[in-house]
Amino acid sequence: MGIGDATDADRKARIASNEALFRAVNEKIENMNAAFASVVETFTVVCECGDNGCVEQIDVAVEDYERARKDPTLFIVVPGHEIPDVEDVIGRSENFVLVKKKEDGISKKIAAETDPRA
Amino acid sequence: MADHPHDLTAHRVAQNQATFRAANEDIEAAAEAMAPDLPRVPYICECPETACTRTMRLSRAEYELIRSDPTHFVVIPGHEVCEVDGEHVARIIGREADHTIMEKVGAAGEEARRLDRRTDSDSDSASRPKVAEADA
Repeated sequence: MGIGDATDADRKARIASNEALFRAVNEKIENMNAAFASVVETFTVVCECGDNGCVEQIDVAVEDYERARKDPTLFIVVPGHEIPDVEDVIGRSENFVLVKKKEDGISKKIAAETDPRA
Repeated sequence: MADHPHDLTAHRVAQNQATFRAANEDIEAAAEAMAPDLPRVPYICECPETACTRTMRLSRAEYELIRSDPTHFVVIPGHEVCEVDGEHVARIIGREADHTIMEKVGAAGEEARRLDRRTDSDSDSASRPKVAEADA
């Protein structure tokens, strides 16, 4: 493996780790609704993109959020925050884009290993 | 124990915020495990509004400094609630660009201390998320 390969792998691992953390944050946010017995149809989550400086939040239907969480390789991001070399866009709505980790590489592995519902 | 109306208000406010704080403790632990190099972690606003799920970015050192006092809470600007049901429950003790630091006062402060999940194992520093010196 050359230096360029290592750098690219490190970058992809960092992106995947950031996304995994943001997903964990959103799981906590959803748990808040349960803790307070709140009956909501939509709630505000953090963008699950790989940019560690992103501070955007997304209003998402609980149903859509739950659908995304059924697959550990799916993430909810603000439109335009998808990163084409590590993930594919598989769905779009007005507020968010649903991305899926590419089949090969470390991104999918980290996404699966850090699945909070596993 | 909390049968006086003011005590009930203080208890409810403190309980709600303790729930948010517990979630933030878990987020901090997740950040340590999953993305230790992330400079600023998204924490959930700890205001008394149970439907609030807004987040703010703080370094772990910033959050730990706030968290080191069981009566201190962090909220996003505009979510500073100092009075609930006519009772003074908190005061603002610090403002930053993207967050405000609040201190619980009176009965709410006492409840915050009682509900602090770090209190029982306060001497067990190993149980706390580790914060790199570089974050400070």
